Amino acid sequence: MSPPPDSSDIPHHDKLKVLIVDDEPTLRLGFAYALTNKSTVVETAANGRQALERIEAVGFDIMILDLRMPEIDGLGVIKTLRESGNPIPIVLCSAALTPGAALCAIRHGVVDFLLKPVRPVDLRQVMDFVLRPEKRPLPLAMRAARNARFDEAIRILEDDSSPSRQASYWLGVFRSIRDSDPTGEAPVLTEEIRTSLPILAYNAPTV
Amino acid sequence: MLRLRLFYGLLTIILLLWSVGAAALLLMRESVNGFDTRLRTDYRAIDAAQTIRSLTVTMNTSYLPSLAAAAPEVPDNRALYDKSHQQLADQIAIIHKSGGDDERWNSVMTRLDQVFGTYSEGYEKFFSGRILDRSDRQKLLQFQGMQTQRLTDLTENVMTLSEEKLFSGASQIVQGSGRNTIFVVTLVLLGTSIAALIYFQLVRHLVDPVANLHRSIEEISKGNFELTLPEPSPGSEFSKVVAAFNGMAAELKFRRSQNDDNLMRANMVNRAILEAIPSPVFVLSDDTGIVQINPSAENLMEKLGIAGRLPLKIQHILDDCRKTHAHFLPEDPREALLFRIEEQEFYYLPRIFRFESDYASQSGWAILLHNVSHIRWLDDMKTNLLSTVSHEIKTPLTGIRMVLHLLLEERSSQLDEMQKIMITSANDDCERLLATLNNLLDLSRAESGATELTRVPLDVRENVARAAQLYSGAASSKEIEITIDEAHGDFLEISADPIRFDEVLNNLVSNAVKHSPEKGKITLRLSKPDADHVRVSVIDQGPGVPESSQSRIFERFYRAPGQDSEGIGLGLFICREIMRAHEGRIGLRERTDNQTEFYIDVPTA
Repeated sequence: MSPPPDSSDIPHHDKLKVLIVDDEPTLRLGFAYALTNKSTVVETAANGRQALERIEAVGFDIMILDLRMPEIDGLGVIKTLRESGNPIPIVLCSAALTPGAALCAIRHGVVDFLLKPVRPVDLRQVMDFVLRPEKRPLPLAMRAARNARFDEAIRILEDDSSPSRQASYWLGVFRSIRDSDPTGEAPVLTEEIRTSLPILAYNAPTV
Repeated sequence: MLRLRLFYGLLTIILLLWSVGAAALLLMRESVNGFDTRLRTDYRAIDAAQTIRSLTVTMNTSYLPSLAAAAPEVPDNRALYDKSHQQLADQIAIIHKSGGDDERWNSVMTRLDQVFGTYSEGYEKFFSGRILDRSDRQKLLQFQGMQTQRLTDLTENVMTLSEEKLFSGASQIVQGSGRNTIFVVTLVLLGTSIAALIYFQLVRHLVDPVANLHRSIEEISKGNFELTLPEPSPGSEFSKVVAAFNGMAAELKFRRSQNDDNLMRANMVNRAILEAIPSPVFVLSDDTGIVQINPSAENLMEKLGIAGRLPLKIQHILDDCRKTHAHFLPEDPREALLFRIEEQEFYYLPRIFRFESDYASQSGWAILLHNVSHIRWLDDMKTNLLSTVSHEIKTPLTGIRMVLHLLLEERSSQLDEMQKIMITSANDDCERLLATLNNLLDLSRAESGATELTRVPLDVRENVARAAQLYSGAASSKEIEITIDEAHGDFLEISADPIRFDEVLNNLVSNAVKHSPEKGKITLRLSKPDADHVRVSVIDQGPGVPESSQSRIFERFYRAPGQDSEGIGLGLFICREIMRAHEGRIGLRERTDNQTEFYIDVPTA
């Protein structure tokens, strides 16, 4: 494959730094190729341990994280980062979402999910959605949730006069997280939300 | 034989009866005759004595007064005397004739004859006319008076003797009748003893066999076919009966032994079958008392720690069956019941059937617990394998798809025409493979997750509206109009899993859009087929389902022939699984007015 286009026009330190973490080499390659442009620089890591090492060495603006990985998995990475106080925005990219994993991630401010298979366009759009949220209720609420400000997120969504289906599900999820014991491992989700987790994904199947 | 005996016995009695009657009649007649004769003779003697007395009185009054007169006169009138004398002689003769032959009678008769002689002499003297002297006449008068007196005394004697004879005759008759009584009594006693003999004979030959027969019949009715009646004497009317009875008993005995054999064999076969069946089998009576169980069932009960009763879970199902009088014959291993035995999980699929003989005289329940643990395990394995394999294929496929997409974006370099065609084709294959994998995952989800529904009350109108909204884009590209028809009643909330219910609804609407002709109409109609369900019908104007395929469209991997659309034939199968898990229904209505109607019935909340 030829080198990514327009990779050296902007000085390196001004560029957006993205970390791709996935154990699948082709996906790492594809993701990196898809995201690299003149304003973005992409690094890749093959597992959680490598990812944590890279984050410690270099600061990143956003991380695309696979859930299932050898050594340290996606959730392990999230917990380690948040425990060390790193608020880096994370997009969790996985083939399947289990309620336990999803809840754990959301409680740590990881609210952006991508369901594999991912199209390049999904990848770029989710970057924009996270880094440059629109002034609409759902993106704003998600931004609040990313910083673990669930009350604010709930308020924003409650003020939404015409919530989308996705927005109402998010509202339910945020509420159950707010109402649950913060020290408990797994907040109790209503069954409705438990069964509708794929809808929470950014590229949720519409049909 | 018996008839003859009866005849002879009764004949004897009748003869006795006749002879007793005849004898009695004869005896009575004889005694009456004797009495009559005696009475007549004796009475004649008495009568004659009386006549003698009156004749003498007549004669004396006619003649003797003249003797007392002063002047002697010769009596002239001798005629009266002669006549009376003759009469007297006649009467005496009569007395003679009727006399007995005892001494007293003879002496009286001698004296009577003497006195009569002297009396007659006196009168002869009187008539001789020689007695003229007064003293002579006086003497004669005295003499005649004396003779008359003697005569009277003698007649008195005769009468007394006759009366005595009369009385002695009566006492003789009494004696005779005493003898007769003895005779009759003897005859009656004879008759009675003959009757008694006949009675005992009859009892021996008629009543005893009947009583024996009765006892034997009772024994047989109690099931004792072993006994036979003793052979009666030849020629007896009972010999036929006894022979027939013994024949019957023998036949019954034979039949019973045959039946016993058959039963024993059937029993052995049954036992062998039951023992050969590895599944626990319970045979229950109508009131669910255990009639028979096989070793496997015994084993299960022992391991479950229950004795003499059914496991509770099965009892509940059986109770339902008894209420509805229906079999319970599930096919789906997912309906199996879980039993924990020694920390292990076993799945048993209960099959309960009711058996009933003709006219329902015999009925009961048979329960077979089909061990489907292995099937369940295999099924779970298959589902897990399906899921794992699909995921494992999906992960690298995601990378390939990503790369193909990036190449097609042509960001770094332009592709030539051939490259573009090839990569597009590869990308299409990749998409199709992904769709198939997703379907397979859906299938495994449908099969493993059918029991994991999360049912909440839903307003079915919202779900329908959402489905219509979701496909409005796809529909408008074919200028198809989707309308919602909810004019058929008030709709209560349904009880359904929101995601799975939407899945079904979306699948049906998507199919309708797929098969509708351009500018067609799709109607989503709500109705109530019964009190407990809400029906959602998805009606389109497409070509419909070929008749040959209609029964199979809900099978997994079934695709109607000639169908060119994408899909691997799982959509309707998954829908059916979901509806089944909801205790609802899914179906295809018969085609009318060029419309195809698929419907789902969901239970109300």
